[in-house]
Amino acid sequence: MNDDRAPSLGFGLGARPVHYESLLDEGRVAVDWLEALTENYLGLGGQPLRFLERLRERYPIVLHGVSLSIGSADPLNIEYLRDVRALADRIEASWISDHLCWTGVDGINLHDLLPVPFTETALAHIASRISQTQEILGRQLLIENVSSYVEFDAADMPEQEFLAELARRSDCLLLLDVNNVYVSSVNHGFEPRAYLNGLPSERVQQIHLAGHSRQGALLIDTHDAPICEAVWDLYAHAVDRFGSVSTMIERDDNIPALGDLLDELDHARAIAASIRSKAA
Amino acid sequence: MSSATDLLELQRAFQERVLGGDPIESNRGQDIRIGIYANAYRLRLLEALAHNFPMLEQYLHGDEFVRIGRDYLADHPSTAISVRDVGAQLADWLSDHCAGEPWLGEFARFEWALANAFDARDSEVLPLERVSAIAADDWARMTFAFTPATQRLTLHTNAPQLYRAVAHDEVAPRAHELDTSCEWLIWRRETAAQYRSLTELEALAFDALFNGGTFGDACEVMFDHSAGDQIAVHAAAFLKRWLEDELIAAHAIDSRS
Repeated sequence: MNDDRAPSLGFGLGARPVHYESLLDEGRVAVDWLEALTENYLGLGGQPLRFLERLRERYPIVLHGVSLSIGSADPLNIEYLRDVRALADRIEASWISDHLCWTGVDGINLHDLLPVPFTETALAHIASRISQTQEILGRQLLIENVSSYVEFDAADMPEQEFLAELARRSDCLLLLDVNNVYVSSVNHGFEPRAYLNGLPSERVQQIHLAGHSRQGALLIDTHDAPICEAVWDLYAHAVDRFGSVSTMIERDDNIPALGDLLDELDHARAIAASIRSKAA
Repeated sequence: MSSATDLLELQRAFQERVLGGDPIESNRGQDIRIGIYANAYRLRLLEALAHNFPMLEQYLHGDEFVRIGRDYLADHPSTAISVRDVGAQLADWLSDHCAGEPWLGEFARFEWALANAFDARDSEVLPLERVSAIAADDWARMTFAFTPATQRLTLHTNAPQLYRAVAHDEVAPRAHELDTSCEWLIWRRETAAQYRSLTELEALAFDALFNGGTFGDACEVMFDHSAGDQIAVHAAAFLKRWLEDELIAAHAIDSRS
């Protein structure tokens, strides 16, 4: 297919309430765009929405959801999708993303991003649901790979092949979480660069970077630490393979001062510039 | 796995193990891995509950809040889209399970109402001048729509005083039941949640309008409560305050009467 990805927004951050005031500061803040967590503003008003609207006056904003549950056997929540669309329209979101996961069945929400089995059956099920979701949202959806701690015996294909075929069948775009690839590669023993090489470069519209923690032999996707060297290396490979892609840092716990995250963001800028200059 | 039914069964089995909290002490690799999801589930939801009820958490101190939170979550697995709503049934649950300490359920109900006022959907606020300009003949037939942040509570304990003490970092008074119930109004002005108690008369008038009645209906219930020729003046004063406090979103003239 042709590469019809949106032009890169540059280097962004997850909008977290603790940084709202700093992000709205009069002086120049070296952040090109923000990612807002959809559920924090959905169906709500008052101060949360007012902050989001003020942030939107200064930055492009993308919406990142955690409740779509695209891989669940439960029916899609149409009301939720309509609310997401209304919010996206209201703040003129650049795009909307959610995860390749399920969050619960039988009406229960475990509020976690649970792995799907990489089977032909799940592929057909999820591709059809993404198509329906995109129709309701009136735009292409970005689907993100999640970190996982279990694998299902029933898998018919590796995750990257599942994602590539999913994007092809449903015509969706991809949000590549480089940290999640690394965490899962350690937990399941696969080669992370081979994973990236298996993704269609014309579909990768956004990149996530984050930190993780270790629990015994496993890595846990905690978003509570600086990005580690191995993830920076993998990011360099991602830039080499996917080109100039909107990149951002997610930090959800032990959130440092904005300046510390801006330093990390500068590091991402430097890596991307270095790879691009080599390619030129 | 060959069918959608198999996907459902696989997810049900996985979910059951996460909710059941399979022992992470197991030496089997897959058990340890599912235990990560089970532990994360409990930690995440307890954290969400503490975020929903920061004052109740402080009032109960950490350990007791965690014990209550675990028991509540075992009875009420989340069905909410957002973790913000995980505690939606905590007040009712506390009223049932801690009936000997009725202020706990009312504390949760009060704090939950304030949280709802804080981030309720935005709406128009009806300016006082718009009501002042209404012809005198139409006043009795006026009805009002209240802002989505506006809520009414009837409480039977001193839970709001307990809440206020915790919120202001003061020593909490002794928790107790009241001889007569107390009426509370909760709303949002600008971006801040507000609360105050109501006299019996103001509560009667407010509820008449809040439940869709006309201004005439409100005057009637007030008159039934305490007959007097100043009722309409009192009612107009109440209405003025509710308008100034930004409780009212819109008005209409009831065409039925």
